[in-house]
Amino acid sequence: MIYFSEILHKSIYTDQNSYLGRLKDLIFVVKDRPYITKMVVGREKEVVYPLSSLKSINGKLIVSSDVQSTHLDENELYISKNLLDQQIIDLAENKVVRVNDVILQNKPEWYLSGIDISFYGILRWFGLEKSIVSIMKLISLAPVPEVLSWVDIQPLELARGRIKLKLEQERLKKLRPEDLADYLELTNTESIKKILNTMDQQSAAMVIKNLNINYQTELFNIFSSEKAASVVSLIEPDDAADILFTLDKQKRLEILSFLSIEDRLELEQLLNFAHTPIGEHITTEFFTAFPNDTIKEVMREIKNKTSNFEHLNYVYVLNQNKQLVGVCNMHELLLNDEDTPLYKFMITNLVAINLTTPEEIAISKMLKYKLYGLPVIDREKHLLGMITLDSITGFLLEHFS
Amino acid sequence: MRFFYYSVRRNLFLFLAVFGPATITAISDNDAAGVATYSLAGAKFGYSILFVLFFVTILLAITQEMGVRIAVVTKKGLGDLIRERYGLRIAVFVFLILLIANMGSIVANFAALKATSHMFNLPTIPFLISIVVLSFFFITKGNYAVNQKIFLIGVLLYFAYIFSALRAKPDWGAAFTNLIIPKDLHFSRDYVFASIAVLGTTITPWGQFFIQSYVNDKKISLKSLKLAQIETYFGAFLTDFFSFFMIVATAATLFIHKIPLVSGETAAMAIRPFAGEFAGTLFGLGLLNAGIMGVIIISLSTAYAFSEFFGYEGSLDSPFDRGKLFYGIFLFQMILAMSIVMLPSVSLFQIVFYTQSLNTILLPIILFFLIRIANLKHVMGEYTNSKIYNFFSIFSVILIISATIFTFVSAFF
Repeated sequence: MIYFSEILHKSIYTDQNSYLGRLKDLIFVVKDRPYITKMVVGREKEVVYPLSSLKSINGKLIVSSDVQSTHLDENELYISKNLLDQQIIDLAENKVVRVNDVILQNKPEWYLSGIDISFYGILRWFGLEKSIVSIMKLISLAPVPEVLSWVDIQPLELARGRIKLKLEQERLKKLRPEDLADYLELTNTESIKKILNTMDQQSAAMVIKNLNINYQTELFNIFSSEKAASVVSLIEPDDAADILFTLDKQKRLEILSFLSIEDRLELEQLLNFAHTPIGEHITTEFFTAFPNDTIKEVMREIKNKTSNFEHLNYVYVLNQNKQLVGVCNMHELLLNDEDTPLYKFMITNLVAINLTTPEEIAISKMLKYKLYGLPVIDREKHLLGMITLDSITGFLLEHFS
Repeated sequence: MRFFYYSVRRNLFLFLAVFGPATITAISDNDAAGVATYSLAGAKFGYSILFVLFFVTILLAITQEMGVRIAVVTKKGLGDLIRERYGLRIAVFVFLILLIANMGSIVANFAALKATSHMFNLPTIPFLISIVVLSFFFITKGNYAVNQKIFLIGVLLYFAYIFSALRAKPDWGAAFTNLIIPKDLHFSRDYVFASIAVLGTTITPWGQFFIQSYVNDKKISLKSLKLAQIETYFGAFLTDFFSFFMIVATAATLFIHKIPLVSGETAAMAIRPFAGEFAGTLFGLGLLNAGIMGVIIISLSTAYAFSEFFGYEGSLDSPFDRGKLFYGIFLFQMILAMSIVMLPSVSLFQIVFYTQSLNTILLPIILFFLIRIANLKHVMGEYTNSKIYNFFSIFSVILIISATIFTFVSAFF
């Protein structure tokens, strides 16, 4: 990932080392994926070259020597002329902020991935980003970088010369860590690291917490153990345990050694539970349905599909994204009219556990809420399996005898 | 006849619908610093300084008209256009100078308000604080329409200077003759200085920013451009109409009796023995009004410019939570300037001097942008500066710039 401000006005040479001019502008296609197609090179006058001729961007820009000039196509716009410094308005036409910088992706292909609307975007033009950010971090004032992803902008309006958002201003103003994480997952680890570096520790940790486990593992492997430990200390222990569990043993021990005794003990305990996971209690004999299914349909399905089940106490309800959203028990299914869809009576206030939940906690939850079974879900709320009362009887017996 | 009556009434109605921005901006150019400059000039050079007014009015009209035209055609403020056309670096640079220069002007106005509080035996600190609180209240609570009415009342209060001048029993013949033929003029270095000071206090960077933002905030349509232009000329005339009486009031008293005036703020006290208690009080009230207008309008101009440069919502019509930054900048400047004025050990003269020098540096830059933008065919369309107009405007701008550079350079020798 690079910022437009980092390459604007850079010198351009051919691979035969002859000087072409400076980079004046880039041209992109107004599409769902806004590819950068051409560049404007200025010397005495401005010439447009296809971006495909660009070979390297280290220090100076190098293009192949047989480059042919081209011209602007119909659905193309300039970054500098049409995007940079322009006013951004929200749905209600309120002025929100201006485009302070433009974020480009150069791997695997060049495209425009988003817009920097933060204070950092302003500082970058003065070469002050790093120094001021480090000062602001010292007094823990560093604001969250505000990034607008391309999908937040209405392309039709852009073609008409206006940068209009799809979001309400309020939602945008406070880009929540969850949303920022979603956005960052579209980029790569290196750019995630770059953005996290500009944030204060607490917000950075919140964003890391919301990333998916692959990114978390990659980031922790890049981070020094000390830095990883400071992230661990800022997020919830079970989230931390999930991440630590994916690392190799040496790295894990190193990270743990940087933690306070209290945190370390808690995490070690959690990790031990993960070693003897409730996995051994989990069964994949569960039955799911959709919220719109009627009781009649569900009953038919149960007859068809669960003949080989040992038990069936609950019907778990999943949404379109296969996320667990509700549960109903057999008694409720029998009581209601057979044309009633499940969403009318299902319980949405679910008690669920995940893979790292310690045995004791899982069991005490079952006992506390008087449940015959507990669903086990992952961080995306996908149903992995369930624990039934049967599967834990062995454990209970052991403790009581 | 009847038709004529209706047509006049209809046009008057349309005119009143666009009336406000240009007049308010132009009149605010006669802020407390302006009044002080006119008083000093009148006391020192008498009726002869009136000759300058004629030119100042034309220059003010030309520069403000370009601002109004650009604003109505593009629907953008000067801050918007500078950022969009010249990029972030230049925009931030211009904004920072504008912020500091405006701070200086606000300090100057608060200093004048402090002086008037002494004159009317008002307790200074509560007096200044209540001005800040009331201004903030009306700007945040009131919408555009309410605030424009308040500003227009402020404009009316400038009539105090007319009564003040009448009381001074001036030689009207000499006054009017000098306006057109400078027969009492003794050309000197000091006279040139005073003329430039009069020019510099009337044509200001913040004035150029303010008029564009304020025209946009009123949402004047392109159809009404003609009327808005007429208002601009009227505003420029009205401003110097009042300036005329300020100069006459001091010329008829202090100049005739050869009383030297140390600072402009003390003019109201100084004319009492000659024009009477009542005239002095009116003059003082005029200064008070000018100071309050200056403080509010200049703070607003920075707030507008800030919002435009950085793209935040900035309008007198925006609710507080959406315009937080706009209103925040407005309040911040007033509080800071007031605190500086209250500090006993700070030399206000130096602060005002140096920040006014910044204004001098900034003005040519702003006028350069103004002319450039007014000449952009693809932006202004059929409203681009015409050749003749360009000749006049570039000539005026060069005149203003060389005058300001002259003062700036000679100030250091």
